[in-house]
Amino acid sequence: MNTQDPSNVAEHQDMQALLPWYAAGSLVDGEAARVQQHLRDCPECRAELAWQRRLIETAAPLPAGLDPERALARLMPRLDEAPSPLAQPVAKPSPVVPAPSRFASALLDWLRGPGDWKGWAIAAQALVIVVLAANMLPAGTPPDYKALGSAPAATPDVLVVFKPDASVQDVQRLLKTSGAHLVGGPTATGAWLLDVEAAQRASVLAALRADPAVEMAEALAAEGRQ
Amino acid sequence: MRFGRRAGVTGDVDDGELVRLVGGGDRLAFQALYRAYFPRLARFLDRMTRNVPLLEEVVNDTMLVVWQKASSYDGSSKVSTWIFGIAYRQALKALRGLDEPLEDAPDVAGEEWHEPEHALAALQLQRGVGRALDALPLEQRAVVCLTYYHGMAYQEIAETIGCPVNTVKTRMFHARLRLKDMLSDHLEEIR
Repeated sequence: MNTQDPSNVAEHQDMQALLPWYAAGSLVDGEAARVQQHLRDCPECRAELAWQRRLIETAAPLPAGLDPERALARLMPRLDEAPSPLAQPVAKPSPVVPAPSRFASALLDWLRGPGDWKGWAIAAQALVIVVLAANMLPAGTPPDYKALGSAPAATPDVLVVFKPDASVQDVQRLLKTSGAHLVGGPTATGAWLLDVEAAQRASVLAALRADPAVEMAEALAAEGRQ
Repeated sequence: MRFGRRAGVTGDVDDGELVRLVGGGDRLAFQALYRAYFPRLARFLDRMTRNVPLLEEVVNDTMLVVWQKASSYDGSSKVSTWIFGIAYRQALKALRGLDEPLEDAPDVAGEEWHEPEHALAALQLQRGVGRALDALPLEQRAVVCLTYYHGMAYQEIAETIGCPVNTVKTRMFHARLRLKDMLSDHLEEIR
């Protein structure tokens, strides 16, 4: 390449900027032909191209421990929290929405709000907890997401946020003694959704709130009802 | 089952149909779309999040938005561009406030890329590249990852991350300089 010629310099810079996409094979034909033409006369760009191709070849494998089905099973109950906008008006012609549901959806909206670092830290930590907690479910119970259209999933009626330093044992103990079932979560703010017998809701809430491992526990329906 | 295709082989035509069904509240279609995109999103987000539990959560948050917004997807961009755009924003949302280097973060010194000399060269190189990529500011890392490991054209990347085409090229330019600097010890192996 003649680097004395300003137009050649500009062309060289333009072509060099396109090399990553040339190397990856995603340039449109016209641009690819231009780069190819330039490469014939430019050893610097040829060396750069070789370097970039090696980078592409060193793509690391996906990390161990990923499990799409486990992640999907965790996500499916969250679809119930927020029905598809189009499906909503079709599925619900005009039911009278009771006050507790409005409260619940407002609370859920708030919990689904923009996550902050703390929420994510808790969510990441609590993930380990829920995987272990999920193992406590009765054996042979199919995941909710496979029962599409056959039976409604458990309805969450209590949400709980565990303290960042809560241990797996804490959560196991709480679920065991309260008789509550984990049915969803974490939300963006790290809250978990529990299904609790209506008759025991007040006492479970009180126990959760009194527990040192619990940051917050709230009813998703009005506490005075049922 | 209607959606019994292998994950990862759904083309964009099929993806568009899946998104249309998802917009109508079809959960089986949603599960098919999820399985098709999980590996691709995981590869992208692995570079963005470096943390398996967090990665799965960002995939889920991304796909939850897909579920919620599918009915408003208008087909003006490719399905993959649309979904990766959501994933990019979800990853930024998750990582802002953590100790992630952002666009104007200071350069990271290259001296920590040494591995024991007897380590397998290929693995050493792979790890060196991985760590160099991880040290890039998030915005540059996203461009590099989408270019090299997802075969996205620069126009598509601009659309995905919501910035001008020239910004994509500039980020790539700076990323390449940093990668070269950080991988100087590996240069001989790479050449």
